[in-house]
Amino acid sequence: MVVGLPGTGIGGLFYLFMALWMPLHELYRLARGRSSLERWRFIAINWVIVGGILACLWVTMLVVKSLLILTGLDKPKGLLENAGLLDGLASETNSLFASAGGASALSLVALVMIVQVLRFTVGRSALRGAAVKA
Amino acid sequence: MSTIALSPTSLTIQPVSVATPSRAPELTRRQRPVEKTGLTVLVPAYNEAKSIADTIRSLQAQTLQADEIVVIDDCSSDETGEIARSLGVRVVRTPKNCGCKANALNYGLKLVDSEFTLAVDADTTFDPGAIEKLMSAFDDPEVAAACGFVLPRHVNTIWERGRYIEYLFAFGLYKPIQDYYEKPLLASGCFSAYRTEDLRAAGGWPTRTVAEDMDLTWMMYMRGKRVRFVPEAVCYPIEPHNLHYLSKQLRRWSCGFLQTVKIHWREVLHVPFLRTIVAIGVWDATIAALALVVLLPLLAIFVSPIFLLGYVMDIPAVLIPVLYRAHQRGEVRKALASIPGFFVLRFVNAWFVLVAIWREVITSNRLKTFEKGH
Repeated sequence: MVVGLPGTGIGGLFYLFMALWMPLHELYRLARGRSSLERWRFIAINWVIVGGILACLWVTMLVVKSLLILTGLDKPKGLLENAGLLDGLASETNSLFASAGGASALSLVALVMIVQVLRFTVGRSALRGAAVKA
Repeated sequence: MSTIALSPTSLTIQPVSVATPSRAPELTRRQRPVEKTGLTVLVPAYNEAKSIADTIRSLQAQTLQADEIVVIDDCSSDETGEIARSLGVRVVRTPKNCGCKANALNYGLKLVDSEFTLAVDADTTFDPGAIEKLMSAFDDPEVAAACGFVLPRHVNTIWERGRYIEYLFAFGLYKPIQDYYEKPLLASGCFSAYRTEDLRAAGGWPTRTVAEDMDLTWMMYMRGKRVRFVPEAVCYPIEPHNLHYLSKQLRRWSCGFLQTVKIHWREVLHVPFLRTIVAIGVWDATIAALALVVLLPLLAIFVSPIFLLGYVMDIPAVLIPVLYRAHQRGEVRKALASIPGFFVLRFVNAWFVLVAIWREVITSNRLKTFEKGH
């Protein structure tokens, strides 16, 4: 079972960030005597994967930008063309990528903050992981 | 060759067979004297005549043998029970159809007297060392459950191919990170082992949702237990090969996730890391699904076709971890050929998530029927 939609949304961004965060987390574990070479190897592999993802995203951005300019598809068309509402967004692919990335990052930060607020404001239910009637 | 031996207990003379090595009839794996491993395998099965034999043979070929394999025949109308019995495993038949996998598993759990219980689907096969690797997680006494890496057994149709990439990605990137932070989101129902004592303490498999595996995993966390993901332990379930079966599976998964969130969200808020990945799962299931199904088509029609790129912009993010895992398995070509299926499956997945939100959250029309996905 896979929850959510892998690769899309802020999930991908979150896991990238958590992979990048691993060395700091591992240093904390190291200080408490709970680290191992195996764990550092795992972190290194994940850093390579994340590095590959980021590099490929950057290349994709360049390729898409070039393609859009070449084909002229970077100009807004349709109902909103005259309104000019999305001119800046659609005609500037850099802005498009930056906007998408920025919106995702902001959403992620906001979501994490909401969870933290809820954590301190919402009490535990009566369930508390109690055994369920099978 | 026959000889006579004295039985030390009864002092009666009994004939015993002493065979020379060259003429020894080959003992089956089941007959071999093996040490008790403290493991019972439960295989709930309803009309699985086509797949149950492969599952049992795969279990019998493991490097670590279970003390007992119990097939719970949930009143199958085909020959599931007979086939399982012919392969030498214990078969119990429920008095009436349980209606869901969790009930069938709980029926079998009553028969378990071993330290560990392994639940596997009746359509799943395993790498020969899968169980041994999975059980190594229990060297840590705090671990209550462990799950393995899941990959579709057949990768032919577009849906199976999409699922193949989805699993390579999710089990190859997301789940190891979840495990690093000690909170795998769920121990997959098709191949998960439990410390029997902890399983019973949690009340067995919950029947209140159609996602019993997720419900149980979160229960373990709430009880302060650990759950581990063991990527080296690989299993191969049969995944839906057409849209008909896929829709049943996706409906159950989507509704099950939302049902579990509705039941546990207050408690989950107090479980570090789990609270964040659940919140992100909910966000992606709603906002990202809306973006895929509604927003992107509208933007493409009314603003610019460039927004269609939104469907495939994350190819690199998907491709890198997928190809890394595929390379490890020597399946790079298969992975590359399957990539388009992932994007088709994701769109369909998004649709079913939105339908589930409408059903479970907005209309509160809970999904209660448990339908198989193959």
